[in-house]
Amino acid sequence: MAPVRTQLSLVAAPFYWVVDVPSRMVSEFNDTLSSRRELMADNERLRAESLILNAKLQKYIELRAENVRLRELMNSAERLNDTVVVAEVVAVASDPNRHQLVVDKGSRDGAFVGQPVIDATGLLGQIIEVGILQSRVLLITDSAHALPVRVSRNGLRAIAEGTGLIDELTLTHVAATTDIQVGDLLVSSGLGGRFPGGYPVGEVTDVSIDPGQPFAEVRARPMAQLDRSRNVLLVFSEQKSEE
Amino acid sequence: MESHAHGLWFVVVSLVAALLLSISPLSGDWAWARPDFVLLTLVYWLLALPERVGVFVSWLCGITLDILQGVVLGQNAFALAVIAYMIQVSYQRLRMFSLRKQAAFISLLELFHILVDQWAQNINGVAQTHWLVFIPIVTTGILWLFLRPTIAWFQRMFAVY
Repeated sequence: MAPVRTQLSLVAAPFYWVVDVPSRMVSEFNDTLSSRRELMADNERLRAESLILNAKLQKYIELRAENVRLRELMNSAERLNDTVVVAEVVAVASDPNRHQLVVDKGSRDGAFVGQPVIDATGLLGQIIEVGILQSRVLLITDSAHALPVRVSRNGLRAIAEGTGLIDELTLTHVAATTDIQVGDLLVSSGLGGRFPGGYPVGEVTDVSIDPGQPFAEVRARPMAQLDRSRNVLLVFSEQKSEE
Repeated sequence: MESHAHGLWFVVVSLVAALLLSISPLSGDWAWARPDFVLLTLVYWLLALPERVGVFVSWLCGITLDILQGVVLGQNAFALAVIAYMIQVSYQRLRMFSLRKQAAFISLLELFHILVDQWAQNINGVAQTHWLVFIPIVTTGILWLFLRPTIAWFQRMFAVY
């Protein structure tokens, strides 16, 4: 059925294009009408941001080199660099039960099923269906989605499941005695081989331990702006892209 | 009479518009209340032009909707084709109904559509059924009260028959 869907998705492309017209027009309208002062302020802010990021990058390069050296010392494989491609969200699933996006990159651009998708702040989801021009992304909060994570503070492993709510993930089967606190950052663990490790997934917002229950109830808020991102990034990990 | 079709392009335009409305983004909780535009538009033409719009056109709209929504292929196609059949066997009676009675009947059709959707999705393991998915029964019924006169006006204006 997959090749049929790939062909049929060509039918869908013009529909999504038309539906997207209003939001494109609004953003174009805003671009045209923004005053000189706003543009200058924007420019200044971006310059400052770029300066800060560049400064951080210097440190990062140094750290990266050090990391490679240490890994060599430990005889472990060097981490591969991920490359990303920017994609634009052209549609969201019309059924609020399904947390899905349609992005404007398809098999023509090298997208593949299972490809991780991130935004500027964290992990967003994965591609579940690739058309020629567009593909469909399943968000990490969809009730059918789960991914392996680890707590960045202490390396504790867990599974983060979507709940069907756009701002909530739950960690399943976390023992009641586990060291996990509100505010802990969850990052993708890379186990399972689908998502590359180290991308921020969520922040723990609630840990409730009921002595009568075998597991703690842990909730987290996704780091990625699942319902706001207009531009997302498709991640190409070097070892995965031939799939 | 049969062969002198006129203005059928408007049927196509209205169905495409309904498909577009059914995938246009709605913010947050409003998405739960989205009326079933495709069902309403189809029912209008099934009642108005039963010799032109039938099970096949409904099936075609359904399969397009399946592709647009990224759901199991055939889920909407099946539901809409069955609905079209139900109307085809009873359109002479349905036309005699008052607007409100028709709206009530369409609410029932929408319930059928929702149940088929939920059934297919749950088999597929996609979504848990939440009672909010039944809100379109009300909104679709209410919208019929406004949509039927509107499309009827356009039908007269473009002389669609």
